[in-house]
Amino acid sequence: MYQYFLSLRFFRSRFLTLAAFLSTMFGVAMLLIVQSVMGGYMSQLKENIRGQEAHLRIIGNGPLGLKNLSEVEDEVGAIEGVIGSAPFIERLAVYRSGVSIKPVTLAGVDPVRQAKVSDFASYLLRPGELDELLQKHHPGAGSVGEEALAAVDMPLAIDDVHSLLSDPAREPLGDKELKRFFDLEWRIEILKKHRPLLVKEFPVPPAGIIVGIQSLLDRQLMLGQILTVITLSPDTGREISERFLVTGAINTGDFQLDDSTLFADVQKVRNLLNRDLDQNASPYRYQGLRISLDEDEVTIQDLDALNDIRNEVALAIARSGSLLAVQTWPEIRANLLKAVGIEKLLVYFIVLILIVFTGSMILLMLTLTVIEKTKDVGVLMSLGAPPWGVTNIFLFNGLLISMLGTGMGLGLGYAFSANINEIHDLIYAVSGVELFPAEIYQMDRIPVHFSHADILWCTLPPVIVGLLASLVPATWAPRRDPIGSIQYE
Amino acid sequence: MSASPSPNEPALYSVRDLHKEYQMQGVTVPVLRGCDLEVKHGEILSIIGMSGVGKTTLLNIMGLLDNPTSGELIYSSGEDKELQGCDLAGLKLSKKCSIRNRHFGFVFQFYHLLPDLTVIENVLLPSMIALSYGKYSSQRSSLEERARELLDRVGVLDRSEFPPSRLSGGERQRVAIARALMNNPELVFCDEPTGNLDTSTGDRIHELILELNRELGIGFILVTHDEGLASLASRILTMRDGRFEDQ
Repeated sequence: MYQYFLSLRFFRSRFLTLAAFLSTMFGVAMLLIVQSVMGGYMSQLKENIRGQEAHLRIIGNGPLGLKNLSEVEDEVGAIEGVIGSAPFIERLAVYRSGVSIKPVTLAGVDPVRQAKVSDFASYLLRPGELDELLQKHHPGAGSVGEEALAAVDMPLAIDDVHSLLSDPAREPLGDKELKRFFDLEWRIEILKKHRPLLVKEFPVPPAGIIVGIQSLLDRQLMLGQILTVITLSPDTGREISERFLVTGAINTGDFQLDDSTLFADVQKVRNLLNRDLDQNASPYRYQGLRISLDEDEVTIQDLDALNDIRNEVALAIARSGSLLAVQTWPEIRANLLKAVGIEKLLVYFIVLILIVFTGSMILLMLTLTVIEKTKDVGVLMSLGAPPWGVTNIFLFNGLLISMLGTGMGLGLGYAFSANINEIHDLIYAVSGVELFPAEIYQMDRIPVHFSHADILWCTLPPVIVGLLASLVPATWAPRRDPIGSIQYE
Repeated sequence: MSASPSPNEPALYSVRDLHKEYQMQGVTVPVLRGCDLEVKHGEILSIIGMSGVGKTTLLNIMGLLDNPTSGELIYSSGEDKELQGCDLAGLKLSKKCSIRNRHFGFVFQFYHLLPDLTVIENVLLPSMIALSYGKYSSQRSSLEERARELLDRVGVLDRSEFPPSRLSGGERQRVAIARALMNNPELVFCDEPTGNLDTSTGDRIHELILELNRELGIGFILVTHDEGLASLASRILTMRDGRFEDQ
């Protein structure tokens, strides 16, 4: 009884106790914030990769891509769990717009089939939504001079795009809407609306192309703009180019992808790549095939089931006589995922040093308390308190500080992490400093994810460190001649 | 003078051939050199002597705060049948702590009240040590009632919610006496209880000790230089060179 009672009294009456408590609280809060943000970054990264990529990807092994596409599709389609496939082409390219040249990935997709194997339909903005966004964030549009080039508040604009696309009530685009971006009628309409002066020059506008919303918001590109995309022939290696018309915008949440990928119709890209073939060369077909699996059977966390189906698909392709590489979505970006995992662990251990520091605060505080309370300990022992009872007073004191500090730290860390984007926006609004620039972290919002394991790893170390730090002064208290000390003033 | 115990009554506490030596930098320093002593139930015994003769060491060993080098500490409790003629020196540490808590009380020269507790909490401390959390909680009101009675008896009830720092020296010593009595001890060890008080305050403490001895039958062993206090006792023993003079 007296152990708890005295422990609470010692806890209440010392300034150093408050300092040790606060340092534990802030240390734990920092640990949780770091873990939740790094965990959120990892989950968001996985979700982005999964959304951009299909469950599996089959890659052709020759310079002219996947030759026997229909055979592979038949073999793979017969495997249980496979629910869709979409051919694709990805080529390194540059686009020229006016005087600027920018390296990009030219992605050839069949929009309807691509939407079946990834979140392509959810990432695309409807024309109405895009107009509304651009009108809101390009206040000077239509005017001339400096006003027309007024800087866009990008974090605010990205925030709007994020809220629009993450609205659970928003339906992904339908097949008709998806096809429309590359339709002739839509291209004519876009050109009339945004570049009326070019209508005469281009009675049949160039093929449509979808660009990342970032490049439209910061005015690198404009709707209705005609771009020249330059790449190399897969057969001869010579330069080939084609004009495209910007007809739509996409936002995957991956800044790199949104900033430097151009999506065009896969057949148009194929035609472009077949433009400069040697006489006897076979035509270029597709780079590979994306395959989607039944989400009920293969969840985002269930990598074992995913690997099982990958092996089945590889076996089926080998049976058909082709030697093709099959990759799962985590394998496509394995290095990135591994690097983020290691980074998370490293940051955890660095912040853990703070927890060790809080332990030394508890050690210091309790050691001073033990020295200060030597006479009190002597009195307690003369009143019948055993040495282990005295030890318990200080042990409980240290544990109380570390457990209360940990509890409050978890609460503080949770509150901070849960509102981290609002805090970021507030700092940005007040100081103009952007702490989480999208172009560096490849995400438009700071992602946060709380997992039970992370909370456990934020709780155990401070409590264990607190206990260990308390043990030394607590066991020392009854051994430093407290009885002798009460003989004197 | 104290309530005189009957000569035929068995001793409450018998100290036999008690030796205590300390090792200091490899040298053996004898402090007690074969002390023999008997304390009867309800007796006030004064131990006087020059500084450094071993009075406090004897008190600490009898109060189980220190261990003897050799000798016996035979205790015959009037309340506890387990403690009839028992040699306390050979008991386990936990048992010694329990005896110190339930059978003995201590009063020190410098009061030693815990500054983080109020007066009444200081008095309740021995009962907190004696009882588990559950038992203490269930008996809390009766224990507080007893603590108030004791504070009333020693004349500081009106200070019960004060911190010790707001009390005078005499008041603090009264609270320390109340604390020593909280668990109904059979014997209270007082080490220079008036050594830090002025004469008139010291006299009032003498009266209080005498009154408690008469009314409650509690035995006191007083280690003192104060002749007035020593004269209260039924017996006065003088120590010289680690033993009693008449031994």
